[in-house]
Amino acid sequence: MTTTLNAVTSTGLVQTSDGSGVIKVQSNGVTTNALAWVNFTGSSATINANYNVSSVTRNSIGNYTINFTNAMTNANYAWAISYALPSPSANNNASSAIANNGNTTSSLNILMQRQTASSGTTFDTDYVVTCSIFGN
Amino acid sequence: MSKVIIYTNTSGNVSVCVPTGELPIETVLAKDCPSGSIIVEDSTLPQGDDALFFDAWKLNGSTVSVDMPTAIAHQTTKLNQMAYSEAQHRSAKAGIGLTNVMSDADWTTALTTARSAITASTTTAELVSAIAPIQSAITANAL
Repeated sequence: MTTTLNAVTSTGLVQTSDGSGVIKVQSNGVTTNALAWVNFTGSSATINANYNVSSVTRNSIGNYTINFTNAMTNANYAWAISYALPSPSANNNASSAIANNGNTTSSLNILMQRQTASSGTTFDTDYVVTCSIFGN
Repeated sequence: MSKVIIYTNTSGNVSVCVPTGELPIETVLAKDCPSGSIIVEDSTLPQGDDALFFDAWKLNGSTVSVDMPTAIAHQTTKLNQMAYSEAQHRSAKAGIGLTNVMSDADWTTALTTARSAITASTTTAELVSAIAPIQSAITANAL
C-alpha cells in the first residue's frame, strides 16, 4: 500500500506502508526516516522507549541483540548507536568502541567494547544506550 | 515486577531477553528466543552484587544463580586488566617526573592481597570488596 504524504512530483516524497504498521517516508524511492529505534539501560537492558523493536536481549556483559518487531526488507541497513563512556578513572588507557557483531533482517547484535593496552574487553554501562536503524 | 525471557545461550551463559511491550511476551518468546526459553519474573534473577557478575550466571531449571568459580575467574581477569593498565600509568608518571601515590612495593603487595582475597571469596560481595582497594588506589593515582 502506498499513501501519498506530499504529492510533489519533483521531490518524490511519499509515505508508504507494507501493512505492518511501519511507516516509510521516502524521497525518490529512498526511505528517510528511522525504521526502528530503542533506548535502553545497558546494565539491565531495561527498555526506556522504543519503536519497531520487540525486545532487547542481553547475552553477556556488553553484548546485546536488538530484535525488530517487523523485519527489515534487507540487511543492508544503517545503524547508529550512542552511549556514555563510564568513568575513565578505572582504566586510564581505556578507549571505547562499538562493534556490529552480526546483523540480519530481524535483529542486530552489538558489542560495547572497551579497548585496553593489554586486550579488548566488553563492558556494561549503567548509562543509556540508544540505537537507530535506517534503511529501505 | 516485569517478566523476562531467559535461556542458556551458545556460550553457556544466560541470556536475558527483555520485551518492549510491542508484542505479547509469548510472541517474543517464539520470535526472538530459542526453543527451551522460559518466562520468569525479573525479580527472581540475581540481585545486588550477584547482578554484577552477569557472565557467571548459570541457569538450572528455572533458577539463575552465580557460579562462583566462574565469577572468581572473571574477577581475576578484571583485576589483571586493571593492574596492567595501571602499571603503564605508573610507569608513565614516573617517566615525566611525577611520583606515584603508592610506592611500587606497596602496589605489588596490594595486588597480591587482592588476588588472594579473590581466590578466597565465597560470595560476590567478597569479590567486589577484594578489588575495592585497587580501584581506590587507581583513582587516587590519577593525574
